[in-house]
Amino acid sequence: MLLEARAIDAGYGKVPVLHGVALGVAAGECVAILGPNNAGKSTLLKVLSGLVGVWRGNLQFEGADITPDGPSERVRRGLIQVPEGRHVFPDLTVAENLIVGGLRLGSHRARRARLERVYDSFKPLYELRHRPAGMLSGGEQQLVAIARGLMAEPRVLMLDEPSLGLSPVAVDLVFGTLLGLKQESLTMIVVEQNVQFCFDLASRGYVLRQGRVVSQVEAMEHLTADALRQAYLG
Amino acid sequence: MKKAEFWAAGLVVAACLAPFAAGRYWLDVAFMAAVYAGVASAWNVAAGFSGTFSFGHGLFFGIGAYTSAMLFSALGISPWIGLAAGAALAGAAGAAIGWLGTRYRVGGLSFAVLTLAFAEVALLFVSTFDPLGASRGISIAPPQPPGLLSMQFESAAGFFLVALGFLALCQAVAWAIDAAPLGYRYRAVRENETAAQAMGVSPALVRMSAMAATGALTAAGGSIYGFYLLFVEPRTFFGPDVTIKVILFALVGGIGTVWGPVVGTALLYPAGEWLRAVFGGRVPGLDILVYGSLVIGCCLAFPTGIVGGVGRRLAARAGRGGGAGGRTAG
Repeated sequence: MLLEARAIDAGYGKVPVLHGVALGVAAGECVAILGPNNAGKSTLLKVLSGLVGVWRGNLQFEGADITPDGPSERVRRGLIQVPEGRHVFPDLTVAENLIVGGLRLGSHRARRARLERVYDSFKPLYELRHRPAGMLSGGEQQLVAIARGLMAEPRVLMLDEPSLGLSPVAVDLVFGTLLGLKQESLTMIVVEQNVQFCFDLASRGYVLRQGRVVSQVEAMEHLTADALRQAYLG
Repeated sequence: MKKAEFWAAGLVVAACLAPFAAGRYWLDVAFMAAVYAGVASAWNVAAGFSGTFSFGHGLFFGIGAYTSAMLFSALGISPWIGLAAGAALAGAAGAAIGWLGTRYRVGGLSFAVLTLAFAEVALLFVSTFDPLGASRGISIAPPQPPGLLSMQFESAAGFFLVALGFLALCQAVAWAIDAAPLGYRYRAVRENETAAQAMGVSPALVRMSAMAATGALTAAGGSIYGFYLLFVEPRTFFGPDVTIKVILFALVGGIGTVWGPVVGTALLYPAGEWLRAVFGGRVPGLDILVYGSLVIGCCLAFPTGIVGGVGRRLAARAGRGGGAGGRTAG
């Protein structure tokens, strides 16, 4: 396993959210985290990226224990999160947004080279590169957030609700982009409410409910409507 | 753009040379303008670049002035070493306040009020603490002999040149931060702290380094002003006046831009002095009324500041012409 969470308890302040969550992601696979609202999906991603601390249990990444690492160290290791709700830097241009993503890379030259490559796979963003990101449409902003994550040359890219609040056309655009990344064997963890979206993208999945993993879906194509109803409605 | 840069450089040189021709009074005005411009620029490094607002720059200004004044008066230590010591002390104070703000999640305007509280506490403390002269302040015996080493000059021109050097230092720091990866970290935190954190940028380090830089530079300005007056006093240095002035200058000139605070100060400060000379003696308060109208007019005409507004218009024009507009990142 490239990334492994073992028996994780976590929460905010004194409020517990996750109870004994275990999860593993192998190199090159795309894993979905499914579940109803308040299941703890976003919290789990934040635990993986270090934005929420672990109460109990531990996290392994490439054989190293990363439990005590803060978000900066994890980004340095290549564990990159694309936060929920299209968190772009609104007054910075698209290009500047992407440069922030590339800060992990050692040199200016490395950042420029990476920027060229990211523009190659995100052609629409190249056209918009001098625009403030806050002036783009929702779908374009989500693309900026994903591209910014890719600028960091991620070992694992973690996406929190990439289709949230997007128009159907924009959802297709984001979906197509992620599918392309999957074909390039980028390791991804996707949190999604949109089951269809995950269905077509992920190879495996974990279903979370009330902070616990209630079922594991070993192959997404075997996920039946009944199992899904069971997972969401209990 | 080349042409615009040429004119800008010409304007800067003219602004630096004009006071020498205009005589003693305007040299004094120019000295103050240069000190304020440097402090405004320092304030902008934290507030404009990283979104770390401070209403308490009097704390840093006062620490700088008092440290160098005390070191010289009590121990005869060179004003320049005192300036460096004051800058170090204020930088440490700034970093500590930045740390406190992040540690206890005091952000935005609450953080600004926190800085104001520190400045006010310092003002009260210095006003009542006898070894620092309490509310009487400290008179500094002029360091001898006059010259650059002793930061004392027989003409106002000498002080103006020192202040220009200070301003150049502030601009060099602002420019370097703005252009470096550090500047991207600052802007990322200013724009969206959550997203910045997700990209591995530490808001704590950004806030601490920004407050340390702004504190150290502001303190250097305080030291220079103290040795110009040869007298330090609590309200002038620790009081809120300096902060209010530089925030106004920075806002009018263009917050978040490298040159905005300097342009704002260069326009507003001499204008204020001129208005006082013209109207001050006749109708009390009229100069302040006109000055206030001028500030409001500037804000209405250039909501993002003079440099921000003009820069945006130039960029839009260049963009229409087919060239690359605005700042090309990276």
